[in-house]
Amino acid sequence: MIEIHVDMNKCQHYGQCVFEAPAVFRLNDHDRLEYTETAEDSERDKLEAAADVCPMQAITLRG
Amino acid sequence: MPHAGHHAARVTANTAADLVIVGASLGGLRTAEAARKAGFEGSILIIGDEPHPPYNRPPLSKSALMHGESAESLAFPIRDSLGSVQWMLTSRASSADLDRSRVRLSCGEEISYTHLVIATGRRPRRLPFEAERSRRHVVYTISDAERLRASTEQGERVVIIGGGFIGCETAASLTQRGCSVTLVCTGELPLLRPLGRELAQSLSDRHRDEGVRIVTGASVVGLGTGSTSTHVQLSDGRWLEADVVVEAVGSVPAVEWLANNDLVITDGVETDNRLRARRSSGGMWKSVSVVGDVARFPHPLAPDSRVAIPHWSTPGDTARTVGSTIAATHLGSDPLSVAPFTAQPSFWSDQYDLHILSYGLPALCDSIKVLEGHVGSDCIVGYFRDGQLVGLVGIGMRVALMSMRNSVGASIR
Repeated sequence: MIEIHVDMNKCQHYGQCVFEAPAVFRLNDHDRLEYTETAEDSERDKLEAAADVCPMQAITLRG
Repeated sequence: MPHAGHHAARVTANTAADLVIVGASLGGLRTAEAARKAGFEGSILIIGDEPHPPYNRPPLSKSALMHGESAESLAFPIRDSLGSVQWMLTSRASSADLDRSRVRLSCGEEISYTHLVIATGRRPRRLPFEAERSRRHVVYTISDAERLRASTEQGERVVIIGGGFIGCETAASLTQRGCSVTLVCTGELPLLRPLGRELAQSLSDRHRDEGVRIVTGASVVGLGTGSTSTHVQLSDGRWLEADVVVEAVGSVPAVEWLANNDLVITDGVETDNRLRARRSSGGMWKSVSVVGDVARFPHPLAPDSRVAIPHWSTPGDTARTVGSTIAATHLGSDPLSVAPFTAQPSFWSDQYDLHILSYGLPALCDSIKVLEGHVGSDCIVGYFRDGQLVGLVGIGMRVALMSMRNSVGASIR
C-alpha cells in the first residue's frame, strides 16, 4: 500500500499529475485537485511519475 | 542520499563509469532514474558544478524571493530505486574528448565513460557592460536568489531588464516584497512574443495595477556604477537609477566544455529524435546523448527546424527517451527500438494570483484566437500556424484546458 500526500499550500492545481495517475488524481468541477490517499503497489510507477512532473513538487509518497 | 560532502569520495585519476552525466540538476537526476527504470545496471557518475544535490529551480523567481527557500527545502527526493550513484558536486567539466570517451574536470581529473549524457543546461545571458557586479543580479541558482532576497529587504529601487517570464515573475515577487520595481523590455509589451498581444497586454496591465513601472521599446545601452546606486542608461536617452539591477535577458547553452568535438552546436547541442548527439561529420554519436534545454532536437510541432525548449518539463521528458536509449544500447538492443521523442511541451508561470499554464509551442504561431472565456479573467487562448493548433495558454479553466491538450499538434503527430 502506498500513502499519498499533497501539500495543498504548494499545489496550484496545474493537474499534471492527473495525466500520469488518473486513478488517483483528478480535478473537480471547480478546477481544484482531489486525490485518493492510498493506492495499491501496482500504481507505483504512475504515482512516481505524477510526483515527478508536479511543477510545485507538492506530492509526497510513503510506503 | 547525496549531500555536498559526497564529491570528496576520493576519485583517483582516470575514474571510469558506465554512464557519466554532466549536469547535476533536474535533467541529470531524471536521466539516471529513467536509465535504472529501463533496466540499466551499470555504474552511474553525476558531475555538477553547484555544491547542492538537484533542487527545483522555478521557485527561485517566486517563493525563494518572497518567502525564502534553501537548497534543502527545494531538493528533489532521491528514491531508493535509483540504487548506487556516485555524485561529484562542486565539480566543473572543463573539456571533453568524445573520440577518446573522456571528460576532463577543471581540477584536472579525467573521467572515462561508456555512455555520456550532456545535461549542463543553460545559464543566464549577461549584459556586455563592465560595471561592477555588486548591484547586478541574475536569477538562476539558489545562491542567486538568496543574494537577491538579501539585497531587497528595504523597499529598494529595482530595475529588471528583460520582459520574459523570469523578468515578469521577478517583478511580481519583488513588488509584492515592497520594492519599487521598473521593468525594461525591448518589445512593445513584456511577454509579447511567447503569449501574443491580448494576453501580454492583460498581464502588463496587471503588473501596472500592482505598481510595477513598465518601460517598453527600450534597450539598455550602458550601466554606470555610482557610489550609492547604478545608472541604467536606456536607448531612448533616458536613464534610471537603481539600488538593484536584475538581468533577465535570456539564456545561453552551457556548452563551452564541449568545444573542439565532432558536434553540431547552434543554440544548443543538436540531436536526432532519440536525443543522440549529431556529428558535424554526419551521423550520430551512439555513446553521447543530450537532455534538457541544452538539447536542440527535432519535434513534430516544429517540422522545419530543431528546437531547444527552455521549459521545466523538458529535462524530465527528454530524460525518459535518453534513459531508455542508454539502457537499450548497454543491453545490446537496437536504440532505435526506443520510441522517438514527441513529448508535448508544457510550461507554467505564477504572477500574483494568476496561474498561467501552457501546452505545445505557442511561440510558433502565425495567428491567435481566444477559445474560451475572456482575456482579463479566466480564459483559454489558442495559437495556430497554417490553421493548425500548435499551442494553448490558459488562465484558470483547467479542466477545459486539459481536455484540449491532446488536440495540440493532433494532425501532425
